[in-house]
Amino acid sequence: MALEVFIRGGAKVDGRGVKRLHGAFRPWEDPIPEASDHRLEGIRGKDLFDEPPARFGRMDLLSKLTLGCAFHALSDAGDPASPPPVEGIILGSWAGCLMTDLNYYLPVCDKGISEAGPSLFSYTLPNVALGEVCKELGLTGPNTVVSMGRASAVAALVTAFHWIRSGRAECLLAGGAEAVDGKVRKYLRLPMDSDVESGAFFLVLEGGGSTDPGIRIASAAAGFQSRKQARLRQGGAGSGIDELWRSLESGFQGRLEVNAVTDEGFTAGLTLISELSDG
Amino acid sequence: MDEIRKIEEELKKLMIEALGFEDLVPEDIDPEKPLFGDTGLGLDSVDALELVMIMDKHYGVLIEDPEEGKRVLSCVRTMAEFVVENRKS
Amino acid sequence: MQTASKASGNHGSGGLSLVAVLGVGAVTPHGVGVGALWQGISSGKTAVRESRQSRFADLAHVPVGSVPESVLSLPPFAGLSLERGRACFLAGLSLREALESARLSIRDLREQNACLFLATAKGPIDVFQRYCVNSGVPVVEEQPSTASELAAVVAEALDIRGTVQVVSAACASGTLAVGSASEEVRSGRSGLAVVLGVEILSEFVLSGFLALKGLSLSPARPFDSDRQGLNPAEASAAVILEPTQDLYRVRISGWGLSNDAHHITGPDPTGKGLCRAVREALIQAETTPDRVGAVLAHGTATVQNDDMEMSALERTFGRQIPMLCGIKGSIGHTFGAAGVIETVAATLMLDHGIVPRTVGHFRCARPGFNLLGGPLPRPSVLLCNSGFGGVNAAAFLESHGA
Repeated sequence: MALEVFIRGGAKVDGRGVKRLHGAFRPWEDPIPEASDHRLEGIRGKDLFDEPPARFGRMDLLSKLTLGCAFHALSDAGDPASPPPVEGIILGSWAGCLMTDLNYYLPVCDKGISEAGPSLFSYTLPNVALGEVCKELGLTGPNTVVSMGRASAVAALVTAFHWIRSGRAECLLAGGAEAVDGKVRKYLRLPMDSDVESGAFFLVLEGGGSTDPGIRIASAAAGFQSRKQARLRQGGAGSGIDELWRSLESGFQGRLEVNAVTDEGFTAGLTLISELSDG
Repeated sequence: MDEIRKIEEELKKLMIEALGFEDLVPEDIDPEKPLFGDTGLGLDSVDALELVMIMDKHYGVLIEDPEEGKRVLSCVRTMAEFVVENRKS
Repeated sequence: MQTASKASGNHGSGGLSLVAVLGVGAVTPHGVGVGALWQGISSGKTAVRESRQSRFADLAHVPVGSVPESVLSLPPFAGLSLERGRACFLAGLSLREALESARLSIRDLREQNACLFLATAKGPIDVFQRYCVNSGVPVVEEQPSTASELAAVVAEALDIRGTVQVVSAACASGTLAVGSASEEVRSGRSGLAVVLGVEILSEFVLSGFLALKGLSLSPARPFDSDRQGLNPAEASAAVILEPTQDLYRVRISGWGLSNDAHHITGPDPTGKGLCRAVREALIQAETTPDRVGAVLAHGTATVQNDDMEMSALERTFGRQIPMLCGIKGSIGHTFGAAGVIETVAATLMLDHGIVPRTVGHFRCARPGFNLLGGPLPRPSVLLCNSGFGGVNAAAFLESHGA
């Protein structure tokens, strides 16, 4: 029997609140203090958790969003008494820890080396966010960050699909997270009306038998086009995540194609199939 | 003695800010309780470096030797005492 | 490097193939070429020197591994010029050598639906730093300013059509990229894989490790009882992988990936995390610890890393620990690129049948470890790296032997 890859649950964190795939929308209870550019910058542990991790406040925004969203995605997947056996996590991120890089290095440039903060520097690698997730959720298996421009989140799902199919893992968290503020937008040369925002999105993917009910990923692929091809392409660039989330939330039936393409030429796509269970 | 109290209060505020304790207020920190390990605040090696930086930046006192660091950073009181003893006035 | 076979075309949806190393290239503090790298690491020399060019006094005398100045005047490869950034240029030099040694043209990459995996911690950090120093003056259009953009620029130059991905797993990125790329080839999704590792020296990373008290003020001493920290370094390396049925010089036969779930910067001192990655690599390679010829370890020369690694090796091998080797005393620590450079080094060890002496090591911190080098007793090398975020990666390389 060929191993199929099923979507067991998921969650999304954005400027408005948390949404679990199988749960009600939870707007931020206490209003998050307005920060300089983006309200998520002020997010606190108690906004995301009933019992926040002890050192949540020390983390950078990428880690906070990744950890919070991964926790809710895991909680969404199945019965709390027997959670899915998640082994690891794959994060797709375009901006990665760029916000933290700028927060660390701009003061060093400005005022000198006495400004080099050891704690902040520790977060200047995007996979440190996964270190926080693995420590908090006890994941000891595969973990990495993949980056393919705005296609990164779908690319993470593609990678997780392949790793489950090849037997490297049975159950993985996979998705995307971005921590973006005015400084990051400026560095990435994003237009002011760009829809790239801070937030996170994770799914729990698990291997199963071909006759199991549920939504499964039938195929997944990533590739690259030349800039010339990318320019000739119909339609604009997009991360594909909003479309995927809406379809999963609305409980689509049948077949769904999700494609992410970027101006640099990255492409990543998934084909999902949803079949009603016999029950 | 008052000087030590004053520095303790400053240090507590600086620590809460720099180490990102969301739900602590200065009164929650007992100046005699250990900062590291399972009891007390549960700080780690990265926090220790952050505290060394705070002491340097705000009081101009340097902790060079790791053994000395362990002693000085054991609680808020020992930190404040070290500041008073070593600060250039 | 000699290769026993040529790219053998697409493997369609058929059975899984073996993954062979078809070509390697490197530009390191020892100079351009894998020959210079081998000469450097096997002759017991260190290329680590005082940096002497920082605007900060605290960083001016820190020993680092920098690529020789003369390298910068070499002709660029496939338009990857120095004007597009130092990372771009060094990447081009290692890619040219890897493709030449694989006897491949850019056209072959396109026809074989090649994929590209870029391993880096800080990517084009020179472009980032210039932006910050010039207080936000926009970066030059032609210069990739993120790792994603760097990967896209290289992919464009090499006419790549398969997966193009930046692998970001701190200092384990390189080994993981080799593993991920081998999976693309083994499964038949790509007929060739290009693994590129690149890291350049930066004030960003130097200042950070100074703040973390992780820098050594003398050339690093991996696994030594007096080791005091790491030497940051820069380099680029490229490895070309191809599918093969049975003919190969060196092959990637297994890899593993794990997390300590312990602490974001401090490794788990028990070594359990790294041990899991190593076991996974050996299981995939269908081998056992007693079949490992030598271990090319991470060996950053920080107290914590080397301690953790020795614990992991004791846990994996018991009393029969294979010969241990680390090259960071010879070239320094190239962070995200390290695993790709060490894949090249492991390939060279298998080619020559020799384990180099660990440069910088004088007296091992623990009994039971042999760091003196010598003939490779069995034609296989286990490679491992660990990094911030608690990540560990391992890969197992084998050859037919002499």
